[in-house]
Amino acid sequence: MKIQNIEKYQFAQIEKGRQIIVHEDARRFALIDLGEELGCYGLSWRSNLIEPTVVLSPDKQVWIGIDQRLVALNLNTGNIAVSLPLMTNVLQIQVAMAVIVVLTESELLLFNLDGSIRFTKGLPELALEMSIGDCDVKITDIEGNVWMIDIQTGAFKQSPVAA
Amino acid sequence: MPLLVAIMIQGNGFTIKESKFDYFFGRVTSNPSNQARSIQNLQDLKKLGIDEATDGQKYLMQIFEFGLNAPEIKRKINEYGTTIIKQAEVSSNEAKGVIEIAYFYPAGNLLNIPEVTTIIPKISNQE
Repeated sequence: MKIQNIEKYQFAQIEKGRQIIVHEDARRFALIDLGEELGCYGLSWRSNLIEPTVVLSPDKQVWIGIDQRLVALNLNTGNIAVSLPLMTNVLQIQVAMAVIVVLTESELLLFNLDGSIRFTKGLPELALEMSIGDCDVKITDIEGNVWMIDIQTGAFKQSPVAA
Repeated sequence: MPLLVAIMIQGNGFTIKESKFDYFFGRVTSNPSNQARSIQNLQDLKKLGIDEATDGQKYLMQIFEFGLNAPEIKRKINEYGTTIIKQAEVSSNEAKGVIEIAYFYPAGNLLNIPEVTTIIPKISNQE
C-alpha cells in the first residue's frame, strides 16, 4: 500500500466516494494505492508534519488514521467498514488479539475485526503513547503516568503509576 | 510508585496543567510521532501569532479565558466528567484560524471551574 503525495487540485479530481479521509482546511493531500482491483483512494489532512498511520488487520481491512479522522476499508470488497470523526488527534493504531486498538489524545477505541465498536474509553489525561501486552493496553500520559486497561473488559487494571 | 502530581496553573475561570504547554510549544519528545505532533502545535500556534518567545503562554491563557464564552462545537461525557470543546477564532498577520479548546468539567458539574486539557490549532486556507 503506497501513499503518494498529490496536490490539492489532483485531490479535487478524485471521485467523492473515493475521498475516504477529508479534513476542512487541509494542507496535505495523498493517494493510497490499494492494488489493481480496488485502485486508489484520496486522503486530505491538516497537519503538514504528520503522516497517516496505516495498519492492515488479519481479516484484510486497512485502517487509516490521521488528524481527527479514522477509516477502515475492506480490501476484499472495497467497502468502507468504519468512518469516524474524532474528538482529538489519532496517535496510534495497532492490531492485537482479534481487536483493532486506536489511541487518540483523549480516548482509547477498541474495534472488533468487522469494524463494530467493542468499547471506547475516555482517558483521564492527555495520552502520548500505548503498547499492547497479552491482555492489556499500557498507556503513558503526558504527566508520565502509566495506565493499564484490560482489552477484554475495558476496565482499568490498576491505579496509574509513574513511568 | 505514586501517581505524579501535576503543577496546576490558575487562569481566569479555568485551570491548566503546566505540562500542557510543553505539548503546545513543541517540547514533547517522548517518541517521533509525539514530537511531530508537538512541533506541529508549535508551528501552527506561531502562524496564528502565538509565539512562546513573545509572551505566547500569556496570550494562550487569554484565549482560554475568551474561549469560555466561545461557541461549543462538541461535547463528550465519560466516567470522569464532561469535556466541552469550544472554538476560538484567532488571527495574525500571517494566518487566520481557530483553536479548538477542550474544557473538562470534573464529575460533569458544569458549575465547576473547568480544566483546559488540550487544544487543536487549525489554520484556515481562506485568504
